[in-house]
Amino acid sequence: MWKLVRTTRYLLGVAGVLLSVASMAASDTLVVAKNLEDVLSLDPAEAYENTTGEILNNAYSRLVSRDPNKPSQVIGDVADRWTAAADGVTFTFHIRGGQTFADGRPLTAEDAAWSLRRVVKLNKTPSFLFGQFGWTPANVDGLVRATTPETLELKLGAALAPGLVLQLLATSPASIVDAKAVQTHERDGDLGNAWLKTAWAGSGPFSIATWKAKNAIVLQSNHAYYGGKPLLERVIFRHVAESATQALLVAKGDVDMAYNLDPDQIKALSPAAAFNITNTRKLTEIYLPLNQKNPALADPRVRAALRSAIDYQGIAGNLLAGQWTVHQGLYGQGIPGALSKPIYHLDIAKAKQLLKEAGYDKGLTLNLDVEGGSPYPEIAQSIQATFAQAGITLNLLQSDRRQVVTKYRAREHEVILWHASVDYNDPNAAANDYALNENNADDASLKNRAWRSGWVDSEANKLTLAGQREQDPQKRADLYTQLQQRVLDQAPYIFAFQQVEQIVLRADVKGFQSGPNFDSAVYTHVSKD
Amino acid sequence: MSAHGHWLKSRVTGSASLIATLLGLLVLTFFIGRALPVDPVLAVVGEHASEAVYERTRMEMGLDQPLPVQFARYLGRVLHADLGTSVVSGQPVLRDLASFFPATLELATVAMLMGALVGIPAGVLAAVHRNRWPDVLVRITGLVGYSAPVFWLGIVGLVVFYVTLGWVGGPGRLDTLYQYSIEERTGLVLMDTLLAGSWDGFVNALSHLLLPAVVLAWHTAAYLSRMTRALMIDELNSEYILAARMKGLSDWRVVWRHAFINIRVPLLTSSALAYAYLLEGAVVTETVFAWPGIGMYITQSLFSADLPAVLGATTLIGLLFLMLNRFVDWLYPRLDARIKP
Repeated sequence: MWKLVRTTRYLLGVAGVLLSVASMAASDTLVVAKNLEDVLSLDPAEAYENTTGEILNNAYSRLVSRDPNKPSQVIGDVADRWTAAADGVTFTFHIRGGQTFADGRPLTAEDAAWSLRRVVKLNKTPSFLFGQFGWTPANVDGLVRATTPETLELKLGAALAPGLVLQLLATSPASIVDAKAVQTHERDGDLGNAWLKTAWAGSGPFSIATWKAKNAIVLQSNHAYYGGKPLLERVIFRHVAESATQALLVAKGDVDMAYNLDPDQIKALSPAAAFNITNTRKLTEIYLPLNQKNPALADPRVRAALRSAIDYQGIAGNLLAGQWTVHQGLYGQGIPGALSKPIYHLDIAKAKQLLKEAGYDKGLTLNLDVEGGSPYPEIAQSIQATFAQAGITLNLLQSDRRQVVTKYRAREHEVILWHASVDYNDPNAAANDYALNENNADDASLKNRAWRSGWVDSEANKLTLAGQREQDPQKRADLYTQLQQRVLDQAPYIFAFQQVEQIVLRADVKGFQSGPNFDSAVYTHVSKD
Repeated sequence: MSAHGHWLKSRVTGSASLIATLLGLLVLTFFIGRALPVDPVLAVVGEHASEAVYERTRMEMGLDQPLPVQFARYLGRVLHADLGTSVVSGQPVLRDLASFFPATLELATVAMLMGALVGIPAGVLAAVHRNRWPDVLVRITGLVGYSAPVFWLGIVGLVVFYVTLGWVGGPGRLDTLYQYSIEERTGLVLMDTLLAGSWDGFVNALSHLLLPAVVLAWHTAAYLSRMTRALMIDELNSEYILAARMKGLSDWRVVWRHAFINIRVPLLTSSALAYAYLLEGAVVTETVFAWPGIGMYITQSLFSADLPAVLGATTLIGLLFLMLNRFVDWLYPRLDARIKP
């Protein structure tokens, strides 16, 4: 009997060794474990989620791209140089010579023009970014033109700061598609949208070889890329929803990177020398919007009391374990003008005093919507506890993020514990979202965060619009400093934490750059020793 | 009524009941889906969409129409074998199901075979040795399989057999090495690797399948052993068994040729139910083992408010239940002559 057991164990052991050898991915293949639930479309004119942004960033080129070493600056990509006219309205880009799509067809200014016009004409979600240029489906043909095969001329509806224009042109909707290839797949005037949802027509460092929804995405190196062949032959994204499973896969070496691990899972990885952990500050913040439809929340003394009734340091130290840091400004760290130090701290006596002055010394009851999934419910419970000390009863309403956003967009919330990223590396990204509200009607076309909280402030509107248009960088920076102070003084938000992204990489993975944006990860220079 | 008339009547009644059940299923799923507090338009356009984009998409999805109209349109499409397009994957739901279902079918079938091959003999053994150590062992093992959370079993199994011992493959259906080199013909990886002539790939697929299948099979075996034990104890207490023993028949013959043969029909019902349960897609197992099956597909579709996908997958599962029921009904009279077809 024991002989049989020993023999079986031996055979299984041998099989295990063989299998584990077979399981090691080749050195030119990077395997990434990530939750891919947010991949809805791979068409740059339609996709606008975290993972799709990351995929498009590596599969498409743009006129300009963010400098990976200094993301608040842009560098040439498809365009090698550009000029901005003094009127702030006309921008001219010169297309770098010798670039081709994968089939060998040259990439021209007409491809770039058609791609930008296509985003506006399709009018899908990301088109709101180019709405700031004053482009509409009706006027975009006249404003975005290739004057020669190498020259692209863009005209804006009104003057905008050059830095803002370039940052917008570095976002994923500005990806340049192979106009001819996409046009051949056009059906019923959809500009090839149905086809490009699952296909690839780019010129970036990688091609999108496979997308199996809710399963896997495979990027293959694009030999036609003008910047040279990437160090990896392919990058495979595996959909692994459960973080514990991701931890096991990376521990075993079956994947090279794991995106969604909890602090405890990261701490448990051993030996520590086998892994590297990225600590990248992202432009993603946790904040609490306070709906101004609620009379109590419309009182600035109540808002100030709430800010003083949160244990920011305790939450960051005990619950967030390095994955978020305390940050209480409008602009995230990494954006010019961001606050470097916290300005609020837990002060229950002050909160009680402010509530008393506002007439709520007998108590106040509020509802807080919070999405499920660590660490948000835990943060909400901490806030509930400290609010209770100040005499505020906080009812926690936990549900799926999509349910919460449905309520948020309908302005049916009181307080939400929410996290959000800005769309590009310019102070206008936050200003336009949190401060600008020129139409607070229920049927307003712009339902940004200011609208959702029902906050209208003419001074904030004025500063936001001035910041968008100011051509002088220093004056512009001053305007945004003033705007941030205005928001911190008047606006119904409690800014609390900024994300520090921790991705686990096997020690042999080198050269990965995540960047500050939700879509800024770059795989071009990644290698495996 | 003539034999032919009886046959015809039973066929008509059967078909009517099938259609009514399917219709009921569609109505229920459709209206529950619409009652979810998630906005399906936001699932498509995202948080940033302008009001104009939101409204246009809502109209394109037909959500501006009254609910009965929306349902009638959906029903019309289903009758033409069109389950709509998944808002998340952008693919026809039928194509999605064809891609995700084989993974569940493969896992469920292997788990069912393992569960039945272990559970049924274990149940017989427990009944024959009632209240003695084999019975206690079967009951305790069954209790663990029944009550231990699948999530916990899965993670512990992975830590021990995949990470520590390296005896089995990890989460997923194949190692990366084989994942994109084996041509997908049937969607059943075991079959596809063999068709591709990749013996290594087959062994690898088997090593990935083993652990999730054992976790599911444990639960199935626990259920089947309990059922078998209870049914067998009843049979073994029957007078005809006493008579058989008095005739001097061997224990083996008494147990398997006399008692067991008489519990085949109720056991078949239990087994069919267990298989149907497995085919629904074991959501937790599929999540822990990153197994791209139908359970994971439905759950993610529900969270994404992807109603065409949820409706399509639910209809598929409903159909499977009905077909399994039909199959079992067809099998009854062939196993027991007392049951009329």
